[in-house]
Amino acid sequence: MKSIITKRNAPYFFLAPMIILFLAFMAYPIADSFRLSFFNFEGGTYTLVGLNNYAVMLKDPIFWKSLSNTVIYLIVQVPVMVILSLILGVLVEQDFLKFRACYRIGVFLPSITALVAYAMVFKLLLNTDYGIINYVLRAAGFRGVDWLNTVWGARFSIIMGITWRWTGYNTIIMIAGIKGIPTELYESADIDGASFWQKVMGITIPMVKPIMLFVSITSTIGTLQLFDESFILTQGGPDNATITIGHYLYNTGFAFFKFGYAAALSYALLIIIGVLSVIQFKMTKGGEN
Amino acid sequence: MKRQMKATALSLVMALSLTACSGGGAPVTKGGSEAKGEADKSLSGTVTVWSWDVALAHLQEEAEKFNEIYPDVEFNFEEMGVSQVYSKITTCLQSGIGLPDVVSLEGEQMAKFGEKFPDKFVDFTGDIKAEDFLDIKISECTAGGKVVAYPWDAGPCAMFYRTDIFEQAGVKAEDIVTWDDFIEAGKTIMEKTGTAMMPLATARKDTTYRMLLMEQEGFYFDENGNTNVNSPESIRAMEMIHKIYNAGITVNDNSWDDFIASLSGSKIACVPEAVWLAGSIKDAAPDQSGKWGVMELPRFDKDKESGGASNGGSVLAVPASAKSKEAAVEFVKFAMTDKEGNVEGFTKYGLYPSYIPALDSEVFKEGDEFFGGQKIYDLFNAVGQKIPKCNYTANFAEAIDLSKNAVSKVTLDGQDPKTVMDGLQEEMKAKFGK
Repeated sequence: MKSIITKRNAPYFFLAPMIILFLAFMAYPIADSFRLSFFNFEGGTYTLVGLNNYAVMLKDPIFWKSLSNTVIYLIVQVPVMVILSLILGVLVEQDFLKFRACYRIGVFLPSITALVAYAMVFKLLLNTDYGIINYVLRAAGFRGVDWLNTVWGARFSIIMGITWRWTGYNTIIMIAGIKGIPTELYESADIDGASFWQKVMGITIPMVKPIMLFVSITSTIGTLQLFDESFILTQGGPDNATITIGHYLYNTGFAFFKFGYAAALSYALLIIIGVLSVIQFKMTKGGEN
Repeated sequence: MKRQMKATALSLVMALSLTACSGGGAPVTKGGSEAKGEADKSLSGTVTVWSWDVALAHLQEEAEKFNEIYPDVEFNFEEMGVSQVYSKITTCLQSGIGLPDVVSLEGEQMAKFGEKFPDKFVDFTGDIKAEDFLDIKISECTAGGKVVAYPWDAGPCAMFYRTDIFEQAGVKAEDIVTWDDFIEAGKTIMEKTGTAMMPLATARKDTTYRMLLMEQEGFYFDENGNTNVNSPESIRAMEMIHKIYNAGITVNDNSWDDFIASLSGSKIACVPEAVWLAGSIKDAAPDQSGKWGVMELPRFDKDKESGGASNGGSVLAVPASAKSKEAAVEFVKFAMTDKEGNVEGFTKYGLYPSYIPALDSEVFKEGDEFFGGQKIYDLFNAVGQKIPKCNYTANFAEAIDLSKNAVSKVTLDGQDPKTVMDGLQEEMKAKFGK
């Protein structure tokens, strides 16, 4: 009896579960939401509206606002986080340090905190009247800041939140990069009598540059996807000053029931992320680093 | 790459959940009238109910009573949070799979469900005695000209105030007739006691604006569902928000927890809110018993009586494709028109009924100790009856979101109310197409 499984097609059988799942939960939704983006959901039925959703989107002030909010987060947050994670990475990898694993865990811990949980805690900390941050500020003689209800206060709160949440993750990537630097470089620098700073500026930073680029781009993409912080900390307010495109997409689809328009928004997001990914691919030379 | 993979995965999940909603429609059957006249024939089947906390508890008690008449009907209660009900019912309505037999929804959201998913809810139009319910609640249950849900608890609004703080500042509640009087009293109270007059959300919600608007018998939409936020009434309401905020007599209402904290900490002298706040105050500040009173919301014009405003309250709907539809329809009617049950729902769980026969009960004529023996429910009754009808439409949820932004513009940015409302009108028209 001949088995249907031959040596040639056997791999596909082994891959079948993955392929089926991929088709059902990745390929189909991607294709179908693209189709959906040309429809409007009115009165229980979908009607074809062509490119109308995209036309509406280009004129939608909240769409542009959510994009510009994201750009603000990017410009402020990504450089801060990259530099912070580099500093932490360098410090944690110092030879004289004892209990290094503890520091690594400590740095990484925020990244495994549930997004909702940390956003809730930040909300408590940043509370205008009863939060500990304002308490400390007032105790020190400053005026409290209305963190979550003023345009820049709220934006700054979100930036603080994501920096806290993601710096550790990027530090670990940075550490991996630092560990990949050949020790001979440092040894020869030592022989030449280089100081700590000279070693950092002359060896570490040039050697981890590709990692820094990688971290910047992945963080950029991650920032575009922000949802929980805006949703829980500020509800997108005040006056949409902190709403992210992911949050707006969610509102449009699940609070306002405009599924077609939400699909169009998700495609706009996909295109933006796609472009950034291509840039990343080119700049890191196909992911060699 | 991991982070990026995660990011991509998230966008795909979003895409996926959107498509999950695009499945085929459920078979649509005519409901309501079929169930009529079957009280003699014993109903059977399992009725699945989705509801939340006290509402669910109340329905469970009603189910026991219902079982005395129809012993063959079984109940399956599934308790979930409000937002959980929404996300679940939305997906189920789209796919037509897994719908419950009875579901509670917030009244103000009902029109959205009814209009976006026409024929997916049992039509009660022919059955319901609309005159037995408060007009405003029938408005909530109406979508596309049909009554697609039964009204449940109502939220007529009034001004809750601290009698002790008023006294301390030498302010008399009966002297406050108009909003201008209210602001002046607020300044006096602020000056003499250091207590803020009321909480005002600058970013979180637009409730106060909506109350001011409804009081003048205005609404976001006109009777045809067209956007109407730059009407004279609406501009006047927003101007009053501007005035109240600029008078410096408010504390910011950043979240429900903050609000409760300032309430129990005696940091506010007044709260304009719906009847259900009475229960929340009792829970949050039992030590303030006897220190509260209720008066009607101030008016705009001294000589012109105002309409009432409403905020909150739920409704009960039956999906058209419910498995035990007949039993479900019968149960909803039973529970919502059970006079005693409605009264019990109020005394036990604070669910203030919208069923007028129940409102005649003696319970609502008694004084409330917590409010210094004041007969506060008489007042809410009167307000409830005069709340004008509103056209909620499918766009209500998005409208309150946009109007919330307008409140932020007027308060935090100090922009001119008329300009803001004209801008809001344009934005809503562009979004809703009408």
